Amino acid sequence: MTRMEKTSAHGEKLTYWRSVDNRRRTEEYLSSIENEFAEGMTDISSMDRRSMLKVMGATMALSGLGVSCRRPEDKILPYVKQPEDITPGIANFFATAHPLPFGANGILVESHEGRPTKIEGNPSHPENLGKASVFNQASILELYDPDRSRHCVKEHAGQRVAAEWAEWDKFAIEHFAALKNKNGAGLAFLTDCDLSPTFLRMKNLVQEKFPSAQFFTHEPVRQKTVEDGAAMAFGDNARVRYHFDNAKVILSLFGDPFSFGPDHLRHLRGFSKNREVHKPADVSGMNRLYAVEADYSLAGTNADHRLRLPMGLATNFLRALAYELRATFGVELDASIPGAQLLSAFISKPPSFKGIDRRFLGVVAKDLTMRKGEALIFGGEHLPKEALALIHILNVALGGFNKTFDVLTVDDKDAVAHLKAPGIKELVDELNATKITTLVMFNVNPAYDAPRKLAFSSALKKAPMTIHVGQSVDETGALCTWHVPSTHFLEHFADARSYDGHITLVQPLINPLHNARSPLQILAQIIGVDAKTTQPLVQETFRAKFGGPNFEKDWARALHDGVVNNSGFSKRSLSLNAAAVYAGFGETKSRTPTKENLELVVSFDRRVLDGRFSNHSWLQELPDPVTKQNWGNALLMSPVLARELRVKSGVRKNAYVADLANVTVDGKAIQLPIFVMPGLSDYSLVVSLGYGRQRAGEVGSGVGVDVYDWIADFSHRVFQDVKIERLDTNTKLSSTQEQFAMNGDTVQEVDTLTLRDRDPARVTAASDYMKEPLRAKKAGIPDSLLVKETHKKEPVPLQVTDAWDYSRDQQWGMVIDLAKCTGCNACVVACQSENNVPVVGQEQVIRGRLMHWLRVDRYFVGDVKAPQAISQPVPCQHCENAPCEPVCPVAATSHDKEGLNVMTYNRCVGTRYCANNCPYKVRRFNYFDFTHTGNLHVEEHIAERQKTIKLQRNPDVTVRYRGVMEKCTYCTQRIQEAKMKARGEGSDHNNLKDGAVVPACAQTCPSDAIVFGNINDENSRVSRLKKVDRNYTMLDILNVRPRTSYLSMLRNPHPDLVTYVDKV
Amino acid sequence: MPQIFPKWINTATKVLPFALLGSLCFVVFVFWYWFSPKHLEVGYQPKQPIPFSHKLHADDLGIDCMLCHNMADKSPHAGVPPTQTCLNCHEHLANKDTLKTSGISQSWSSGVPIAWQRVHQMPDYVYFSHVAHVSAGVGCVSCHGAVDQMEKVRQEKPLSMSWCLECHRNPAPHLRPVQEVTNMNYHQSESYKKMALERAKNMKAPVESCSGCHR
Repeated sequence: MTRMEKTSAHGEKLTYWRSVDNRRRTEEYLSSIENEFAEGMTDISSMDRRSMLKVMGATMALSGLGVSCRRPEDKILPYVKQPEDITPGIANFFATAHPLPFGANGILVESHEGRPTKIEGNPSHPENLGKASVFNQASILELYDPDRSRHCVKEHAGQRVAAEWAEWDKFAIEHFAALKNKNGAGLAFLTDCDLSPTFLRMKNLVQEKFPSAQFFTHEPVRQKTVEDGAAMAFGDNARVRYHFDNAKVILSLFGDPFSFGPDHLRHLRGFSKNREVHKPADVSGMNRLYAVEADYSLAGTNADHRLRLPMGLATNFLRALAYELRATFGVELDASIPGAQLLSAFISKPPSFKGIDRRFLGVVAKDLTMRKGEALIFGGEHLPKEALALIHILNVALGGFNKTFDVLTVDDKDAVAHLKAPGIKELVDELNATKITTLVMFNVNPAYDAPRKLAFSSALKKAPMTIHVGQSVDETGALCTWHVPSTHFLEHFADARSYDGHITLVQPLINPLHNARSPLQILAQIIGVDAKTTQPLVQETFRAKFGGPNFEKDWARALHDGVVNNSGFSKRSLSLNAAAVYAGFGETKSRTPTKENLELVVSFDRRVLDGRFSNHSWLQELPDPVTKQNWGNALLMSPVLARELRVKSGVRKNAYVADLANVTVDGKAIQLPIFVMPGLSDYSLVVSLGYGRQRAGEVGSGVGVDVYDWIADFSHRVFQDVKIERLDTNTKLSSTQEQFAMNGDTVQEVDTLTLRDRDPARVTAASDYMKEPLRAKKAGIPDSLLVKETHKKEPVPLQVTDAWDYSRDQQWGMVIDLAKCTGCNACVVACQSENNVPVVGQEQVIRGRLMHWLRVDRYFVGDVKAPQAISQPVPCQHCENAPCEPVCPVAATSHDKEGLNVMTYNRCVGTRYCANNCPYKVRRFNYFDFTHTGNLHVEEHIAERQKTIKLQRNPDVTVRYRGVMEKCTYCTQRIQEAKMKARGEGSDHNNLKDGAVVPACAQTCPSDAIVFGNINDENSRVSRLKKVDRNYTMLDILNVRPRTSYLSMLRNPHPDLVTYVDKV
Repeated sequence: MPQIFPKWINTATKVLPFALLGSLCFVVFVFWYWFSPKHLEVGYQPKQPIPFSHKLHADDLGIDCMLCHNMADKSPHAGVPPTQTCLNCHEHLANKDTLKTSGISQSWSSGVPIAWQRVHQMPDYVYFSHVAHVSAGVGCVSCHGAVDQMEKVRQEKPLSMSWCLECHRNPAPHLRPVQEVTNMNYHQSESYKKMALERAKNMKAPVESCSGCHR
């Protein structure tokens, strides 16, 4: 499939498109794409020519003042006593853990002279294996968040005033001593569900000291139904761990195993491992993913077959699948399982097939049974627990136990107790009964993210003393009697558990920036233990758990490795219980949503989760992998419903202008902007939580719309009978789906010359690939660009410059395997973190001034109702015949002898000709002083904020000023670093070992889709991949000869089911 | 009708263009010559917080550069020694007065680093690496001048891009055996000159691409 438009086996026209407007080729779309720069991109915000001239005059006057003849004085501050292991100029890496609601991740933190700058995955951690998720990587910015609180806050005469630590100490000693005399009656704690062993040990000490104290937990992102489903099928305290690497046929039922949630990095890695196809014979080892969903998840974009189904029919589909598996394909439950007969009988009853594509169902059931032992059904968190339990039972029946998944036991009694502790609902009841006099809250923000129907905020007022321990004064902190600033996880000693139970020590990388104390210190103070640092507390836990004769050595080893070996939860043998599942199932009600009675799925956001990452500018600016929206949420709606409601949301002049609508759920109406999302189930609406925060900080406050008002219980986030009313007003959203478009119309002229094969993203069905391996390569360079050379037989492509001889030395190149890429965005954040890429904010994104050096393009293929999606990461292609170079009047962009298209910032004068001439639209212009390095004038308020933010910057990369073009450099600083290292070691820096240079994107790619190296070295990974048949370069007809090439996307459709993938 | 212009205008119109051109050339020359780093940068000799004498330490006492600047062969930065390094020797000296009067003791006891004035300064967009140059056998003296003869360090070379490129384009005269890097009085012997030429050829010359120094 290599043409822009082609006809499928059914005679239906199929097209690549970026958005609905693009597909319809509306007048507006076509004219906007013709512009050199997107509309508004080059305008100065709300400024006419006259005021422009005024500003210019002022600037000139100022520049006269600011310039002096002598260079500025600079100071060198050496250490007084140099730490042993620090070499100034060379970064150190320390292992630690990032505690997350779905289990901690093992990370390595890059530290420059004691200043943490970047987070990468820890190679020895079993979940991360060297890879880091977007959340892991963005957490570095949280450390330097200027909105973190710098002092305690207390309530004084109705006002909230700043307080010193001494005041807190005085208060805390007296207050908790008084509580101790009452055995802790009226004392309550609210914490998240983190299973840190030291925290749990301290919690027990608190309980000993205050026997009447109560503990509650609150964790919005906790997947309670998933836990309950596992417990129902496998017994108490069970945790299911999936092994996608062993699964060859996967059915994702309303689930998203790849965006967030437990083990999602492991899932990504396992899934893409079976998508590694280097020759036609490898196709037999390829997996096949079916996705059934109402929304559009990452499982959906990566699926070989995707079925749209409303959530209301979810349990129906599952029953139908179970029936099909048993009745048609004879998958039997083990009769020895308690309740097996009942359940079998229940399954054998033919369910209603209404609304379910039986052909799809039949093929899925057949495929699953054909690959017994390699089949896996993955249930999503929105399903009821009975359904999830039934899925586990089916998985066992399909022979997947200990193959495609295994079951762990949470075998730490403290952890079990913590997970079973009463929740926010019970706390609110206690508060309302005025049984609680002192409430201490750690790392939670229930005033924002508790189910709003519980009315936590008003209940909170009934407790006379409320203490909030957190990193900033958030919605909850602002309501409390005391706010106590707590440290970031890079500032203290602690420990954490991953999803599968592995214990990792959390070690501090830096002293607390803002004089904060760690939560463990506060807990220690409450029980009267003096803890200047929390290290002894953590050591004590470690000694109790793994104490041996070599304590010091073991401790040092654990700190160094970043994981305690064999500390994971134990694997359990199979013990199923079908009786509970049968009892739970009952008569399932199915609901087919209609235009009048819509269905609404409220999910957590793929970037800010429940709102905890709202103040991370990197995550706010990160385009969602599927919708490509950033800076906010919206009501996602299918094009079918949009047409019926006459919704006109779409791209106008670079902004996404969205119609507003009133959405009513259970009588509560919320106004939301509508985003038309192809591929959604027709009458299902989707909206994400985590936005509309009041006190997130300067970045996150007021972004998007808060929909917590609808939530009564996090286990029930699918609503039926939802009403919608379109309003006649609209609002602007930012979506990058139309920006930097290069497909289609931009290369129309070249197209008429010779070729039709110019799709940037290419897809092949696996079966076609086997028949015709070179399918993706078809395009090639047109004859008009070939020249005959005297000493060569074949004509060769025209080379524009002969400045360097690329057949010599090491030549850098990159291969991105689209079959392995899942579009998870980890590379984008890695690039931003490594290369000091600035954040521009929503207004500037709308103007098309997004600065990401690496973008992930998402294309749709096929029908607007049910398209398939492809993700394609696009960094600078490093063309050998780079079109950007000859147009630069000052030679600021040129080639180096190793084939890099380099950008010399100090030479650039900002004509932007290069960006015009770039066919891939990967060059980014710094329109404003986005990095705030300006030495003439930076607003005081911004300068103050930058004081901490600038500490994150990578000292090995220039921080670019405004007026300068910038772009992906293939991480040239890492190349230089590797060369320096080789020189220091005395090895040949002109012939580095394969793998010595790994760019940030390739380093973190959880699916290993990006490979970088020396293409002149025949044995390097990258040159071996470049020889793979699927290798192609984007827009190859232009003969720009990019160094970045792609392996075409491979779909693995089932031969009996062709409708969902075109077979051209 | 009286003459508007006096007669000397006739000569002036002939001379003026040349005079204008001449003064333009002069202005260009002034900027090109005196405003170049050669004149603006060379000779920069700021006052240091401690009257540390390189002449005394490096020349009279014969201490090797890399005893204090010990990162030069490992890191992009040569490294300015921590206060501790001073004390390593001075603590064992009979006369400890210099420590007290100079402020080193104060730095040590208070933990406040000594704030040296930077002499050799590169713009932020230039990434110079000591290890690359030291391991290739470029002597300290090539860029820093005869520091061992300086009571107070001064900038000897312009450190401009064209000055860098002079050597990058023709490195052979500046090469020496790696063990001689810190030798301030090294001269290439006739036999080594040939070797240096050979070496410069084999090591594929230092980078002349932008990416070598700018990233």
